[in-house]
Amino acid sequence: MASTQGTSARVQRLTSLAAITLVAVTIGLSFGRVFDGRASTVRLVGMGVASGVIAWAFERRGLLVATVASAILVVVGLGLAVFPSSTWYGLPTLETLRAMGAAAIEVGEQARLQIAPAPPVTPLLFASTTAVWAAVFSCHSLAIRAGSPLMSLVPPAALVVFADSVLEDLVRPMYGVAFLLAAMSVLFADSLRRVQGWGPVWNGPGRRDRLVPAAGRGARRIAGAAVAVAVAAPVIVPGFGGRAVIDLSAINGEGGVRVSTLVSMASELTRGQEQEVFRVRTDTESYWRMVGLEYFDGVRWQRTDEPSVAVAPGQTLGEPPEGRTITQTFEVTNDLLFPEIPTAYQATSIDLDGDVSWFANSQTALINGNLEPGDTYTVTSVYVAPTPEDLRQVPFADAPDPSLTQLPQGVSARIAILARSWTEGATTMYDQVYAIQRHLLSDGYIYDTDVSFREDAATILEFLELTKRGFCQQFSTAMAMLLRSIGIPARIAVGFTRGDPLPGEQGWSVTTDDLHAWVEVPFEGYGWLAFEPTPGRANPTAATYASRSFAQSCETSAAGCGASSGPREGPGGGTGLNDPKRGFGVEGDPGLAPLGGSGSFDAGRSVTWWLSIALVAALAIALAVLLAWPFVRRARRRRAIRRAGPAPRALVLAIYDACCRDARDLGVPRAPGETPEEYAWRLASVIPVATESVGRLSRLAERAAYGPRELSSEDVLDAEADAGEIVRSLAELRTWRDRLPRRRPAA
Amino acid sequence: MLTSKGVTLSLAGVSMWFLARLVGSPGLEVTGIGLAALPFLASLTIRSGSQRRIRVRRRLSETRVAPGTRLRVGLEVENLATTPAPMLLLEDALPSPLGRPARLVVTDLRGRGGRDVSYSLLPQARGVYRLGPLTIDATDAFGVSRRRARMDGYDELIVTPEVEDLSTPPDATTGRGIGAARARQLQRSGDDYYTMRSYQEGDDLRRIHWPSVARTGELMIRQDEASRRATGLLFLDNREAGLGREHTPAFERAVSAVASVGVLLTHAGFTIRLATSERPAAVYGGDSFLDALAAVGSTRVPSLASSITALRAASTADTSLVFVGAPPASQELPALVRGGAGFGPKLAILVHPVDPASAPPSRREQLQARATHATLTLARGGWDCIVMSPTMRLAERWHQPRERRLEFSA
Repeated sequence: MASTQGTSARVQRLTSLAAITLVAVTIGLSFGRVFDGRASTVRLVGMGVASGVIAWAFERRGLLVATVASAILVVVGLGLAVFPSSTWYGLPTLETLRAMGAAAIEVGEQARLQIAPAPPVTPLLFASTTAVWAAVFSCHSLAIRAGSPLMSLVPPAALVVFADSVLEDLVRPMYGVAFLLAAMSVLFADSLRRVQGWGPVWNGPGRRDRLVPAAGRGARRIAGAAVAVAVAAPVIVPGFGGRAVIDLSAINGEGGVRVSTLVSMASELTRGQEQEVFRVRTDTESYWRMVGLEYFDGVRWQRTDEPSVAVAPGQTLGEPPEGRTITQTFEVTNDLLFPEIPTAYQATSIDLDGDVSWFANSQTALINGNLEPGDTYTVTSVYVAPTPEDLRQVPFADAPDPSLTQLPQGVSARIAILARSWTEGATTMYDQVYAIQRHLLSDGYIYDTDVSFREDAATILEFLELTKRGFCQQFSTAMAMLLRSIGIPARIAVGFTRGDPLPGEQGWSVTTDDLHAWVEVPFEGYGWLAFEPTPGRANPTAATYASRSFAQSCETSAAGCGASSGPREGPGGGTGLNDPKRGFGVEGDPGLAPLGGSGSFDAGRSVTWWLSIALVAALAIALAVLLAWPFVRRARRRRAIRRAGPAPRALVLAIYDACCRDARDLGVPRAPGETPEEYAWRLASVIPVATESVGRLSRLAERAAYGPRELSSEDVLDAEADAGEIVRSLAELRTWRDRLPRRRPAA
Repeated sequence: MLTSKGVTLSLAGVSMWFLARLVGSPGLEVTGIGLAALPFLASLTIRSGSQRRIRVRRRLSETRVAPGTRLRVGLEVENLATTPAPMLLLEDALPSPLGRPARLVVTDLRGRGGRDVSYSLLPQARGVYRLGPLTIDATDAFGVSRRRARMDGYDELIVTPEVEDLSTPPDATTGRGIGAARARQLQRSGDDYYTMRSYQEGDDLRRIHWPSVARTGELMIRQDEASRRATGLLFLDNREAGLGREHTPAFERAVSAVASVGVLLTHAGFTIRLATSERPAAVYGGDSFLDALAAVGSTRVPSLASSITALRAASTADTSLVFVGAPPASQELPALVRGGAGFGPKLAILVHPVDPASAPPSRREQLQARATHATLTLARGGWDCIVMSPTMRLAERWHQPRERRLEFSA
């Protein structure tokens, strides 16, 4: 004995929820790849699922209500997932909103700076979670509300494409398979809805709600075959996975090297081919310093605001310290898309034909514009080479700027405890600094570029106590934070290591792989002195006080200090546990990074404008869905009327159905089981001015549905006119407030 | 074959693949290829001819019903193949007065298995309807491919006209005597009415009517109901110019009136003859009378003249004549009066083509004037007249006294 009604509305809704959830999980997993670590992926998945559940929960309410609810709840979700410290028991506060505003402002800059897979810095995580949320909500709206499952796949597909385009790992096709499964689940849910709308479902004997398992069996077979075809695609489709026909990432088209010294310390070293930046000719090796970064906000190091001085070529940069003077001549060999001028520390004059500004506190020289291939300039610097004994005489002193000893809020006290334990027994400032450097260089810490780095203090602590793996950014940041935690001023210096010797002449060729970061600490009478906490690195300028063995060798070296500056950070190095492959802060955009603009630099593509486009596209899609929704709805109803055919009876019924739907959207839904006459009475009580139209349309609908006589074309025209009058009257009468809180059951 | 959704999906998949190649997204390439292949893979699961291996038999719970009576249409779906059938979407075409086509979904139909499914009908309009053909769509779980088969078997459903109970007044406190009197008047024959005929050998000599013998000079026999059954001739003026087209309220009310009076006479033992404006009188017995009325439609015959001529030829004094139609035009009334002269009791049920109450004043006056003229003319010719609007029920008018009827009709 068969039974009818195979699937209840509840099961049908749960099926659509499962499909949307699968889409959300797939998007989260796919898009989460652009970030380091699993935590951000979990957040993205969680936000996507939450967006889907909220869209589903408000499925039977108006789109406007659902959108408003989603917008409110996304703020809550962002507070929990991205700005947890700013919330009050999980609820967003003004501080949360301010943080969101700040993050929104920084998205563009971070997108320009970060290399995918990027650390989950707050602005990017904020943008990504918002994009995922919007994509899932749009997907639900298009699939369930508009009944367009294919259109609903566009927003999620955009995010999958984005992730694919900025990453080049081997598992990408599997994300495509996962997305295929999600897409098919949306199609299946839509098909289920259409089958249920066809008519009563007669199942086989057994329990109810057998449409899903019965249809699901067939769906599984077909989906399995489709997945098999998709998995076999790399084999059967010629040119699968080849290079993009249109390399969108090259559209910027600028050649040159872009090095951001305002870099987030979370940036990884860029993987890729080595690119020469400049050549420096001098008899003394050194690190080629560009900038000192003094302010740490928990995300990145920045230069503090300070007044600058315009300097003429060869002008002395303040009072020169005591020490050995060295002269360097730089020859730029590539477009340097950054304003900082590399010099040996401490520069006392720069002879450069250009508009140069000098920032005395951070010892930074900027050029107004960029240096281009062929540009040359000469720098005079003074080596300050105190001995440890000299530095031990320097007493603890207040920092010239209190911010130099400040750490961001939320930094664990365990960092200070660790710093104190490491400096136990050290009585002078120098000994304490040296003790910390020594621990980082020798206490099981390993140079490793295959690590992730996040900005929060917990991760720093994790690096210090657990992982003990990292590269120059981790080591220098950790040392600076340790020093500041015990009240010793510290800052980060960014520049290049020595480079490769030029064949046949005294000088070095410096490439992107020589990018490096180290630590500077101020000592009264000597200025800011460099320290090197990164294993395998040795700063020639710090040889006399930061490396005793080096100092000893320096004394006997005919070439003077700097016979060896240690291995590189980049591919030219290799003394680390893993061969370091990535340049520090070099953006991997093929259009930006490669020397000479050859385009052969195949590092991870920059998210630069990609992320901005993705974010804008996601928001635009969401906005377009909102704006287009009334038109889509109207077009669908017109199409339904058109599809009703030429028979007046069917046309009148279609017009009546469309009118009922409009009335539902305007807050007067037809209740389940309500007869046309009962509904007409209720409508007439709401819009008495249209009583005649209501009654006439209702009678026409009844005649069309049940009457024996065929209707005429005049009846169709009457029905159209009456339906228009009813909708107009309702629209004039109903306010937004009336519409918002009403529950709208399906007509 | 692919549905429009399947074609769109396939094209979307190809577009996705092409876009993925352009921007270099292998993940999207995989998705695009999978989506493009999906409709074709789905069509493979619906093997060619699988829909033709499905046999469906239609079975009606009743083939003859009164309006407003729900009936069940059963469909025996049988899978002749040894493999499970795909999801089946059945659509049984129905005449428009019976509503939209009946649609059913049958799932999980195993090989060599069967399933009894059904849908119900609630016919509201008189008529003879053909149910079918039945369309079977075999589809996949994604709705991207479909194979269609059509089964041309038809079943007939007869929806008889509404029959009102004229023996019992709607309001039991009034009109019982009036309605019964009208029925007796219409059924007057046998003991109440007799006629003469020539003596035939074997007749009972006690029934010789001597005054007639004296008047005619030959033996005449009095014939009453005891010796032959009375006949009722029901004439439906089904001209489109009068009542309008079939399925209009006036036409259906008139047909219902014919059916109601016919059933009343049948229950009284009358032989029923039915005539319409284009068909001569024919005898109907049992259900065939209502079946004939179920199929009757309007006609474009311009005049009643030929019908009345045929009517006169069939007139006998023991036949009750019932005329049902719109109030005749004044030029038709004399012919109708003459045509009914040879009949026994005569009843005219005049149905306004439209409800005077909803008509504009000028039209209302015109309708009422015509009805009044017809009523008075027919009454002078010995007819009993009932005038009613399409929205009235005959039973109400049947039990109202003549004065009120005249008042109303005037």
